[in-house]
Amino acid sequence: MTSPDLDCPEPENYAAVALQMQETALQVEARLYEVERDLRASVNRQTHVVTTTAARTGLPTGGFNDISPIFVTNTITFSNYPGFGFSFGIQDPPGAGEYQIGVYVNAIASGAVTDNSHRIVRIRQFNVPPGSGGSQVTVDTAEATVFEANVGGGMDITVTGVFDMAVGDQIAFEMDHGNTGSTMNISIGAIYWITFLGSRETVEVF
Amino acid sequence: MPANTPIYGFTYPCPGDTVDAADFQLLATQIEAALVVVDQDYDLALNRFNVDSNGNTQNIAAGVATVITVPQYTIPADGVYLVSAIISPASSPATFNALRVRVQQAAVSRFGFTINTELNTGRTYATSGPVVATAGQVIRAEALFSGAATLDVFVNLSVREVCRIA
Repeated sequence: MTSPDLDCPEPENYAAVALQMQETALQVEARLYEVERDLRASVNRQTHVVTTTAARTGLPTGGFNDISPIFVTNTITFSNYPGFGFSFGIQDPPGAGEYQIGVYVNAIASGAVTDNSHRIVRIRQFNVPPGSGGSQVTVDTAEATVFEANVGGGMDITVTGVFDMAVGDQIAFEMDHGNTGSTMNISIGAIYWITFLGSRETVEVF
Repeated sequence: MPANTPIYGFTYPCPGDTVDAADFQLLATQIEAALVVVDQDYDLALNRFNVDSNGNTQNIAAGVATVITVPQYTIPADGVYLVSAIISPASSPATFNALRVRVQQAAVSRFGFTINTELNTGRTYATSGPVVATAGQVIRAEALFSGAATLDVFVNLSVREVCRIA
């Protein structure tokens, strides 16, 4: 035997060199596979990118509207973990940990523009506790506020945040605005994304 | 008749085969090739593609979406990259109503951020988001301002690989 536990032919089994080579090949393969699997898991973190292919229209004033991608036709631009779904729900694996989440929208008034009125885009992490009857409990939020410049083309808004997520937590993408002159539309090409940064249990250095 | 392992295809002789030095050499060479691939994964895991670059002051005309020439970044390998563009106004035009910065991937605008600058002409603004890119595509920023005459802007671009497509 030699380190790390790979068998070598001994005098008494020279006659079985072929079998020994097979065993060696399989042992090397098993060890290499473990290492490669772990390295690729490190390089290819669970990531999910969704891009809308239709406009979301008619968002009223007076409170946050849910603008999550499930409400409009979309395409999954990239995903190596489709389990995130449209609510970016956390499953195990990858499990509890730190996730970077972002959204981009171009918000444009459907009609009259109310100059200097606000637009707020919010990423809201929530869960639904057992026995709550479906009530959501907000865990954390990240948001950006802009004020309408009224120069045409609407307002581009991006929000990015890092969220400490537990299994079962979900994400809602929301928007509030003060454009009393008309409702708000979100242009084609809105982007919603999530990527796994690392687990709670292990300090990972990349 | 030699056989192969199921994952990496290492070749080994079967009982009854004549075993000679070439069989050992072939197996060793195949294992070495697999180790090289693992070494590459190791390097990629430890050394993700990352860049953070400051540009030069660039003058842009009002009402024209203008490509920022410096910095730009060429994607080195297929993957998902998180791109951030930070833009700072570097002059004070008489009229300055809005400033928008967008990130372009292969000359296509992907995402951005617009700010109403009527009362905040001196601030720095940022946008960040993912691009699903292939090797060779150029990542750059585009700036658009609404106001009078021209505006000097300064852009910082950071590109961070978050996921490799391979």
